[in-house]
Amino acid sequence: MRKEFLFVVLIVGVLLIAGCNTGDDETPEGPFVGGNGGVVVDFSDGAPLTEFDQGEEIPFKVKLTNLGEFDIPAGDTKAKLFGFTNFGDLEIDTFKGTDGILYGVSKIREEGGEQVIDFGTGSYDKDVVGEFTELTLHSMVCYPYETNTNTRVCMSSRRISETEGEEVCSVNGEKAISGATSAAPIQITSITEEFKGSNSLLFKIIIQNEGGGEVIDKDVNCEDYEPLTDKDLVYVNIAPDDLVCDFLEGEQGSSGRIKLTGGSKTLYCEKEVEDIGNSYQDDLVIDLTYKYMDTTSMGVKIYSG
Amino acid sequence: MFLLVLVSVIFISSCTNGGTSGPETRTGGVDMGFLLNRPPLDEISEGQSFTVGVTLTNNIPRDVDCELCVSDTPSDNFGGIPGSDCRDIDIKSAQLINEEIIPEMKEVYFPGGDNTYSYNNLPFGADTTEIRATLTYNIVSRTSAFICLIKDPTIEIPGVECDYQESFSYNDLKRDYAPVSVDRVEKSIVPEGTKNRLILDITLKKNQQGDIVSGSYSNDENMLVLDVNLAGTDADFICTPTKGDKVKMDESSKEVKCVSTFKMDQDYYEDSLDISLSYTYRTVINTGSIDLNKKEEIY
Repeated sequence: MRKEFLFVVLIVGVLLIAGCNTGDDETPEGPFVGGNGGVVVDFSDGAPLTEFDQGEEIPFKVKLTNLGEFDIPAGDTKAKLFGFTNFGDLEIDTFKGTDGILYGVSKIREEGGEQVIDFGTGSYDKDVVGEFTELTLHSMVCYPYETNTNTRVCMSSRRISETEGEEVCSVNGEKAISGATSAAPIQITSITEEFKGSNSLLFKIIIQNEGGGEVIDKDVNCEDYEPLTDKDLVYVNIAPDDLVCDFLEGEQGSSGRIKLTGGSKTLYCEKEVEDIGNSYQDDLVIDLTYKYMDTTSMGVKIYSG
Repeated sequence: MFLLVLVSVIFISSCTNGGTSGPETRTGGVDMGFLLNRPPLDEISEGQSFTVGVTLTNNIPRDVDCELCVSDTPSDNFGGIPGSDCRDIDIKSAQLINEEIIPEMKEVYFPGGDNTYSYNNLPFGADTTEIRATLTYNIVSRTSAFICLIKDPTIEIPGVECDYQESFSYNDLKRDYAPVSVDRVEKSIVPEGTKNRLILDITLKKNQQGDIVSGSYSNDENMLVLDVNLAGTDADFICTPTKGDKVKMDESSKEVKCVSTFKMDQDYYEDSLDISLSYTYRTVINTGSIDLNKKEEIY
């Protein structure tokens, strides 16, 4: 009797816990995994060790993991060691590329691809005052990336809406649904529509740097990056190509550059909607192309030899 | 590890021959004190044999060659210590364990062996004596800190914080224990064309229990050799006020400005700022007045 009672309590408990799931683990509605992951750079375990002796030969390697949804061709993801010196012939402040393709995540491949860049070995060749000294080592990754958005928008106009045209969709509401944008450090966080005039639609597209790193122009080599001119520039390409967007320096069209200010930019695009008697749904495809930089650091203790 | 350090400290402490008495120095370099009853500090009788024992404590993490001299105030006609009795002493380096300095100690006895000093002829005018120990040694003390160098302070480098101005107080600096130390360093770095100018305001502090004297590094009193380097950067520093590479340390504190203009290999990096101070240092301890008791003559 006692065992049966316990079993019933257990079953009820399990059901209650299951029932408490509020649905936070929502499945993406769009075609992408989603998220703001890009390439994560870390020093490889033991390369270098967290503590070592002055004069000891130490390996330096960085591990790159692609947590976004864009596959980066071999050699295009580059990393360098920087921000320290006094390690003999160790190559510091020189970018080295990956040997293989750095695959991203996808709905099929849940774990991001990894590549390791080997910088060789170096030894701290200066005197250490006291028992040990502490130094911060830095590594930077620089890589080309793309953010892709594919979502359904409603093509309508005030003329269609306010006359007797058939409304098959609504311009109201957020169109940047979950999973509509691929996992990448630059995200399209909002797409909204509103009527403009009698037969045009205005799209408000918010683009944000959510990766915590630095965005640079897609055409700039990592080695030649100049913050004053190359920082925060993102190339945008939108389809349908009859959208007219306001790009940098007054350029207009369906493709061009934008500059993120404070990590964000609202892009305004206009589309004339032909009155075919009813509204209709269409795919809005936005591709953002850029280079992205991120860093990591680790503290090491160097003991006097 | 803590237990090991504790046991070491207790062991070293127990090795001293009954402790010290009277004055002792606390300079942070090599310190000294008189050993208990060597000499007796209250009185010495005519004809009484005595020795002088000095304990040396090396706080410096390097072996030190010292000259230790003992002398007294009465003239040699009264016996006692003849002139100045000097000896060259090598004292091993202090140990650094878990950032704790474990000093190396050595006891030195004068006149040495089975020999002793004694006073005589006291009725002819000696009532008191003062015994003095003088320790002179060369020291090269080093101070270091990692300073960040940035080509253009207006440009942000992701993941990096480097202000063009930076302050290092006493506790931020790695240093040897020494009687003259770097107390503070203020850094500022400014772009200058394709190069950068690094300005360092360095504050030196001297322990007042001793003096910088002429010796291996300078023929002048109170002069020490200052050498400022960036370990991984080709930078020559010009410091003021100096006389050549020497700084006059005639007060307890001195501020020196060192400037270098150099080309940076990277947009940003941390480099080891190494400051070395080389000088000859002298400390003196004195027993104070010790009564001399005359032998009573029976006629």
